[in-house]
Amino acid sequence: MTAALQTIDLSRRFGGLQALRRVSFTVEPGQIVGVIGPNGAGKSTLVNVITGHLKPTSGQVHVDGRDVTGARPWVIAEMGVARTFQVVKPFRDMTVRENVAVGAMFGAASSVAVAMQRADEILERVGLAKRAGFQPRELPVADLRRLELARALALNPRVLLIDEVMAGLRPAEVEAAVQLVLSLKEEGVTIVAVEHVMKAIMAMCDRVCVLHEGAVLSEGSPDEIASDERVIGAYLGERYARRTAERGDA
Amino acid sequence: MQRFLQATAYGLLQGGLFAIVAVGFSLVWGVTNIVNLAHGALVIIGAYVAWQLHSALGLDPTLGMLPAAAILFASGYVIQRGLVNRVVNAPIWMTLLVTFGLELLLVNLLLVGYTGNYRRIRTGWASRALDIGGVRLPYGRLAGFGFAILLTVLLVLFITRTRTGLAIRAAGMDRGMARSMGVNIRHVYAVTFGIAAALAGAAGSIVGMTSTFSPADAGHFTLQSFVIAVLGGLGNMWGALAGGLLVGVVESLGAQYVSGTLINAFAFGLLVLVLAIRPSGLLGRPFYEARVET
Amino acid sequence: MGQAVEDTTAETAVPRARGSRTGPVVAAARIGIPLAFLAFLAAAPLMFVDSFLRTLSTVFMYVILAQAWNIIGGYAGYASFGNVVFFGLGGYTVAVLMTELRWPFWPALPVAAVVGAVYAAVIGLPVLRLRGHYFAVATLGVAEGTREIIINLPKLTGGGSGETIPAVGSLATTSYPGNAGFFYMFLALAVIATAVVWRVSRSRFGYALRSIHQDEEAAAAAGLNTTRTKVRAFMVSGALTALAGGIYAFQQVTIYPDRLFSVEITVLMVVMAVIGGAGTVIGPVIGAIGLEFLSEYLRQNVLEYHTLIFGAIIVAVILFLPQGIVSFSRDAWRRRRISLLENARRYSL
Repeated sequence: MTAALQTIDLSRRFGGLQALRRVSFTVEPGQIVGVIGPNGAGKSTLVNVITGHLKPTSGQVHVDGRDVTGARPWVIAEMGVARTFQVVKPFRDMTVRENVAVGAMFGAASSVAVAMQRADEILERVGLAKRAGFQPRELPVADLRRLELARALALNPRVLLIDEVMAGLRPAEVEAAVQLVLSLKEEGVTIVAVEHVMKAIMAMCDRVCVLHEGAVLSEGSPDEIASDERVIGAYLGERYARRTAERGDA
Repeated sequence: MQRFLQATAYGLLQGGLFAIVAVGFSLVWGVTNIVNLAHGALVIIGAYVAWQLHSALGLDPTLGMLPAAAILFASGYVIQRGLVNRVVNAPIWMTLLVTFGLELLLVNLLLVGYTGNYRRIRTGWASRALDIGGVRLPYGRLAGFGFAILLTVLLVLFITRTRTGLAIRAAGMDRGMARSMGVNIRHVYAVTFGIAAALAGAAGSIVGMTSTFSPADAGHFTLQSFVIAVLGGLGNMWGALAGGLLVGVVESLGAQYVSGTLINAFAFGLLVLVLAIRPSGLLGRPFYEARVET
Repeated sequence: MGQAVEDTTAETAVPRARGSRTGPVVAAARIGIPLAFLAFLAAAPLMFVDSFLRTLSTVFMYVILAQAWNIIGGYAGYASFGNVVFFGLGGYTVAVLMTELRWPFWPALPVAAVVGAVYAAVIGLPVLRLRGHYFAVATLGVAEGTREIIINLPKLTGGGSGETIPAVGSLATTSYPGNAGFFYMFLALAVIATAVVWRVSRSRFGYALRSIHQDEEAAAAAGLNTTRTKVRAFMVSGALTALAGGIYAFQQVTIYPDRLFSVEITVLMVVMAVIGGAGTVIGPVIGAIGLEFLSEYLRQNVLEYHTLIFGAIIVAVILFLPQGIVSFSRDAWRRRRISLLENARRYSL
């Protein structure tokens, strides 16, 4: 089965900073893959390179087996790959409904009227139906995240990359978001979730990929990753990791 | 060969002057992201101040530079604080239009006050020249060039070694963060604008000393400062100096060897090319581009 | 369809929805008033003196320019400061075709539009990659550079001494329309330009432009081909502007590069669109009418201080109404209060 998404030796440097070092990972269709790592590990850069907002310095990106390295963002979107932005980027002078409709209008190529209908359906799904007429500046953070997600969903994506959507949410909100993501998986959407919130990662991911200083540090199931000494070392320092391993803590 | 050397030497001297005019413009653009279309008008005002001091008190323009710079600093500070600060967060055309309106105002005030007649400050010594191997270097322009270097050095020292300079650089890199660190952005922006105005005023007195001027020249200085700022990289002081010298030499050689106005077409073509290929300028460093604004 | 997520928003949340609900009276007025106005204007040549007709023609010319700018600057957010280049190219296309190739005016005019659109596409591809001030300066550079090129092709364009269209006598290929004729031409094109903007504002293309303006990266991520959209907008803008230039050239009979590529024209069209309301349909119309009449009035009454006062007024209006007259009026109407002072601080540091 062709991978839904695959990166091959993806590298990206910014002047003197090597943000991605030969990152290779594969996402099978229908999976939820988590991408974690300390701040500065290159997670958002990875999303940006995959979705075409940045060109890689070297390496390749394949979607459904097709090489899309260096393609512009809308080409990637038209192929069914949607993304959210870590710092939400709503269209500030459009209503919530219009924001979502834009996603349906272009990536999924529909008329304004059809797009508005689709927007209403999606808003219902993510729980923003009551806010359809609001302006983004009137929304609290949790709703802005939902809006970001809703707009991505409007593309009818086969692959969805979500970038730290759980940040700053209350536990109940995190739970609701996890449920939403799992329901998307049930519909066959492949999901890559860049996250810091461990609770969410453990709850929803089939596999987790750990990035550290631009390179893949480790990969495996959530449980494997949680007990991996190298991962603990990257987050909490090597001495802590060694002491924990010596004491035999899992 | 002689013509070439003369044109080049002349171009370098002129270029130094263009550099002082442009460096303030570039600083303001780089730090506050404001393109001041009234910049050229400030230069002309400086020229008139120096001219007035010269005719009323016989003050030599090299000394008259100081009061001109001081007056312009104060005016620039007030203009930024009172007027331009109000549109900093607006869509780009706002600052462009406000400063354009300001330019109309200033130029026309000058026209009303002084008429459009071309004037110059006649000092005895400025038009006498040094002669090196047949190449004529007028003292006035030499002095201008010297001041260009001096002022650039002073500006760089100010920006890198003083607290205010540090505040200016911080505000230029990340306004919101600088604000959180206790930097008074309104004041810093006004000081930056004031410095730019002061430099324009100083340049104006040198212009008055080395050639003729009139309010109608304002636009030309502004446009030139655009080109130099872009070439040298926004907010890059040494870049503005280099850019100024480059433009000076190109204009001078162009006037010698190419038909009159075609050189302008080349200049604009170059500008568009630079913008399209390397918006951070020939010498610019990317960090001002990565500016974060809140 | 999966489970709908539980809606945790409060039941009492009240959305401040945008756009008022208009009753049938207001809707009728929205169509009726402009139509009545147009009918009135159509009769203008019968009612007004020649000089006033010429002023009106200039007003409508600026309506066209401002609306054309509105598409790329107001809606897409790419503030071009060089749109006059299309005006000049359109004018020179008509002039050269009529003078050198002895074409009549009517076939020459559409060619001007094509030239405008093509130039916009050619220039647009590199230049539309720039943002904000860089874009503005680049377009300014293009306009200035193009003018210089025109000046340096004297065999074709008459160079700095201008080009004269044979408008009278046996050499004329089209009889000169006269004041009334040009009035109707500019009026018709102004109506067309406004109709185009109106159509754009309600269409998918309008959403495309606005999303580029409000967040270009997000628009690209949502599947919008931003490059193609921007170039299209620029081409429409260029074509409309070129048409205005073509009519202007014929009206003036003798044209000069300095006039046809003048920075003043660019600034005026931008100021009019912005003061009236960039990104609205009626804004540029109001801006053009208001500013042109103001300019005429000042010119008639205080000629020496005309530019001075004009400059001061521009600064004042921009300070107090940065979002433009139309948006300000709409907001003020909605909130039932007017506070210019408060408005002035809207974009303050």
